[in-house]
Amino acid sequence: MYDHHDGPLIVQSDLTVLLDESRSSAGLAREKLALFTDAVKRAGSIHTYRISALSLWNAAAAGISANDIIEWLTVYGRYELPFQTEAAVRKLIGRYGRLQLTAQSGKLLFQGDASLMEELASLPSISGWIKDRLQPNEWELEADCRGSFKQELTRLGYPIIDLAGYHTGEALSVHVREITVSNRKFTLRDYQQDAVEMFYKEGTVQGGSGVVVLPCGAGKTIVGIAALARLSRATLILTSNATSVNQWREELLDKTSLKDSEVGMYCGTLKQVRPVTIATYNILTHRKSNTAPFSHMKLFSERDWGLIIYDEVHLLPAPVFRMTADIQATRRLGLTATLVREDGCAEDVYSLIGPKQYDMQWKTAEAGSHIAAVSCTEIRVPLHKEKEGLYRDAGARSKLRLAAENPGKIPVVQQLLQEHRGKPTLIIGQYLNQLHEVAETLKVPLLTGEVPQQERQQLYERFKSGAISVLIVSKVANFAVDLPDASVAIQLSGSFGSRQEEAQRIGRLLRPKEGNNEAWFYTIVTDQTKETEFALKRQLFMLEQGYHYERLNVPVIDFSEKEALAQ
Amino acid sequence: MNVQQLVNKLSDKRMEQLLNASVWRSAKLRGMAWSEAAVDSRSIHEAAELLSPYASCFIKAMLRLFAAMPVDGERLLREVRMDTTLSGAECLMGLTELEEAGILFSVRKVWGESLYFIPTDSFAIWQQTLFACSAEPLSPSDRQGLLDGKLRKVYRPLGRQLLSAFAMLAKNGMELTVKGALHKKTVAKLLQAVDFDEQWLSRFELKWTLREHYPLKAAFILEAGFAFGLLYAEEGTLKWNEAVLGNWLNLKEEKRERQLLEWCLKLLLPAADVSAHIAAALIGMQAGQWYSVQHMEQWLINSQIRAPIAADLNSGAKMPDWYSLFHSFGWLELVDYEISGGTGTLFRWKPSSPLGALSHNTMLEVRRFIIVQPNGEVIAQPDSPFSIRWELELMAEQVSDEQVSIYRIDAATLARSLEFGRTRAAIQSFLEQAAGGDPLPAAFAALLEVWTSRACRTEFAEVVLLRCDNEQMAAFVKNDLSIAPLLMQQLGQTDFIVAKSQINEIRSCLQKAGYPPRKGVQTADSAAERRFPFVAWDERKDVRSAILSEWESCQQTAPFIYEAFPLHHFELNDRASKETYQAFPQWDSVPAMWTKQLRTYHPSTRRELIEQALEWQTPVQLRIESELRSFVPEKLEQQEGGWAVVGLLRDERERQPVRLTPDMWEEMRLVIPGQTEPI
Repeated sequence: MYDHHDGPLIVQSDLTVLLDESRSSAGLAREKLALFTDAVKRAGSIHTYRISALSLWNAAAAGISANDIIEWLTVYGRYELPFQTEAAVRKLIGRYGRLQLTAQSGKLLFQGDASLMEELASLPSISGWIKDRLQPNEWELEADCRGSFKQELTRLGYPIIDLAGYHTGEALSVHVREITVSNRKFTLRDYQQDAVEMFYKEGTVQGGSGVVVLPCGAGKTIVGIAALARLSRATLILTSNATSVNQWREELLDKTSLKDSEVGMYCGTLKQVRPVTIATYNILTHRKSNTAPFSHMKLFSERDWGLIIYDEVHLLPAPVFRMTADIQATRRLGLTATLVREDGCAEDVYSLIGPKQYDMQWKTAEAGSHIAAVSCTEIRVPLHKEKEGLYRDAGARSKLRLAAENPGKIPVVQQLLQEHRGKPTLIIGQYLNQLHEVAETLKVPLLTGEVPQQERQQLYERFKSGAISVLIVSKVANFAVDLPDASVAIQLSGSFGSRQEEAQRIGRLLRPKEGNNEAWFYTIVTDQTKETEFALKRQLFMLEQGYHYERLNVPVIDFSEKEALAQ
Repeated sequence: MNVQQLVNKLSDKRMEQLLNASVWRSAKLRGMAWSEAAVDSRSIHEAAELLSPYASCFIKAMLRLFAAMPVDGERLLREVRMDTTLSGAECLMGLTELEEAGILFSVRKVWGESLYFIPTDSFAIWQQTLFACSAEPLSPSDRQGLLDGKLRKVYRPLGRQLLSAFAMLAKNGMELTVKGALHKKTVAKLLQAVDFDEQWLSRFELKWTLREHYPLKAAFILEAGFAFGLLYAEEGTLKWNEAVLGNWLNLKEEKRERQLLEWCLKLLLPAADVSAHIAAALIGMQAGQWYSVQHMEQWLINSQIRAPIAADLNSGAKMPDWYSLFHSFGWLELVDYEISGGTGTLFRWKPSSPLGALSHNTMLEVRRFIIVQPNGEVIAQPDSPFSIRWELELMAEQVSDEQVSIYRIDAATLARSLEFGRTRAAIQSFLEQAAGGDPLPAAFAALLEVWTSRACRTEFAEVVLLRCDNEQMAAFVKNDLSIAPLLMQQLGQTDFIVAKSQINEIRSCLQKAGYPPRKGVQTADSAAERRFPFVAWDERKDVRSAILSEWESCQQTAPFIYEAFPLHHFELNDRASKETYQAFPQWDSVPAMWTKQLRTYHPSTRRELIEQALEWQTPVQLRIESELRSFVPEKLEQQEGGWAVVGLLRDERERQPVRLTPDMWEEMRLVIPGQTEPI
């Protein structure tokens, strides 16, 4: 049997592909995988990718053929390519390009392979939308079914190329600044520029809708802003939370010619509908009761939007999909770090937002210094002597809290600050008492939810400018995307096992750094307690994202060696 | 019954006689024993060439009609006669020759009837020799059709399925109920552990024990466990034969799959009727090549084998479907595709199947069978020995099992592992060793430490108290040099903790010292100990022969699925038919000319010759319209004013009885098979 021992790819018949990063040709194979698979896990030396109908159609949309994929899987494969994988790739790719939507004189036309269309005509879920069967290979469809029709056919396993075009939307004069309002030189990075061009496709019907995949910290917001400026049309930006709304607004005002009056925020108590409006998915899906209509969905039609940006498109909720199905004549840009959805709605992203237009893998971003290389370290500290008795007698929940608030952690923080002196450092914790104590001991400002917004901004500004190099932040930092960039993050305590939280915190460190482009994440946990177990649970997720943790046990004196090594 | 089982029953002398048959001439020259030649493809090909026309015709007809199914002697002769143009005497001659060469055997039933059979492991080779399959591998140009087809579900190889089932059994307890069956929950888990579809087994209409407790699938798994000697029942529980289990797990995968195939064939061929031809032809095909089921069917038709074809199977007939069965056992891949007016099916043996010569080992410079990932995932390479997979089944959950197998270790699976006596150090050492000496990733080592730090830190130990009746006796016990090392700990003044396993030794020491302890143990022994044997991986050991003999020795006692024809219950006929049956007792009492020369006889003499031929069941040679014809008389008919004989003219294209009156031939002679010149 074929056994190419050096082959970095192990192709399973369930369409999972394992990449053995320890093989010399792993880099080349990884580049190819990025073209037709979705990355699932990057733990250890074996990384997991998945081939799906959607990943293949995305590949086909980018001009990749089944033969290309079969060849790559064979050339880089360690074992014989399973027959079922080859058959599935050929079958699924073979379906791409057989059906398309176009518009002619205001009519929505469905064209393609006559025999396939004949088969489809008999399906009740399809036949209702057929207005007129002009020819065996050309039907006129109901004008308003464009999104639902694509969605249904994608569900049935048949992708449609949508060439029915877009309406232009309300014009908006906007350009990207070369010098930002905050007086920094600003240019798009090459890959950001490429992503915008892949999306825009010179304004043709071939472009204008789709998803750009970039790793955290690689500047997805910038791609969104650049696309907005490229189109210069009224734009609705949908994002996952209120702090993100703020960040978008700040970035838009800082990096484009848009004025404050042109950028509206639509969340919480603010309901501003302006040429560029930023809203949350939450508000769009808000309704008074389970049966009541979504009161804010009207936002989609409140202006003549020329572009809708779906930030964190992997979090897009179902009702927004339904609404999106009705606005297929509007250009749509999805931004995300991953196309893998756990709710099975990946097909809807494909059919309603559009195919993947650009994808840059995390490794590529790191290699190209587009994101910082983060070293993660877990430091285990013994429980403070004074707390041992308390801990022994406490209930399960109290035990966790006692471990989290272990005073033995403070000297470690001091030592870390000493070793990373001068580097912008965030100390993040869960419990306010502990944070106050640390702030008191270290004489470092503390930012919590109790701090008024204005004071918060001032602290941020001082931190950004370097006036203060250490800032202690509470849980608010989890979602405070306006939190300034830092090189060092020290996690004193975290939620019991929230995978998301640790990811968010590490995400804060990812923006490229000047100099060696290195950043450090420390998580301090109390040894021999439940806290180590929860810490491991959180780390498990990060391990699968490709991070690895070093583990140190206190007493550890010399951290300087670690930093020196990194430099 | 297979050759090995026959070897256990036959005397050395008899086997020597069998080897002396002329058909094994070359095999004997090569130094082979009969038992080797009887399952050797080359020797069987040579033997087929050397068989007399009667024997050759007979075995061909027998296999065509009954395949591997044992058949009653009378029925066999009757149906072979009906299927061929052999005369009765020729049939007997052929049968005798086949028996004398140890190609066919018979057992005697209690009421004197004989059951004739071909050893199950010879059957396939004879079948392939006599009915060479004409189905050709698919050409590369047909490959597009293949890719357009629909591949049926992927199954794990049977060995892997059974490994999961056995591991599941070990994990869930093997105690039997009062009715002698496993507990319902265990049976349910056993069924979940394998993927194969029971319906393909049920087509063989097998009978099995404890039907109300075990579905066929469960019986099949247990039968495999017993047949290979891995399991045995004792004291109300199933137990592992750990040495045999260790050997089985250490077999190379292709060898184990081959053994499983042979075992399946032994179990199923006799129950398969003529469909056994399909199985035999299938195992003669080339692994990795695609073939068409339709081509196979054409070959069956051409060979006049009435095995079920797709149309029969699709019509809902419950006939054995070997393609689906082997597919379900993870050996065949099947692709259905559309052809005009229906569906066609393509198949191939997987390269990793029993027929594939798969071995990844040679390519690996380091014995790195697994890769441990920081998140607790373990990736097992295709060539990971079963002994490693067995241990992984205990300490991890299997996520997928394809080219590579993926397992996941988590807190729960480690707790289970600890429950079965593993320690953190043992787990770590096992994983590192299996990973070719690579240390565990730091993140996983930390997980391992945390996950193993809580469960099983305390345990209840079932130990025994050695109780003395007073302190003096206790002092004696403590000071006795043979007993003292066996005392674990003293409790109070007069009691000692001792290991349960040491009772007999201590008892014997006390007896020798002149203080025989009270018989028995005061508290009754409770539930049987649960075992998940640890099997060390051992590549140096060539265990095939050991395991085979152990396997064979267990064959008589496998208790779950009954053999379709339990031949070993009957006595083997140790003499060939020739010695018990005198075919032509008075052949020299007829005029010599009757057999030696073609002559024109008076009609009344002609009748005498025909009557003699009928009595001896021999053919006659006739000259009809100046042509020499061979005629097998079947019956004499008296007609008004004369007589006629009904029989077969052998050279007729169709096997159609003809009626001849004496005026219809010019000359004739009797032909005595084996005695006079054949026709």
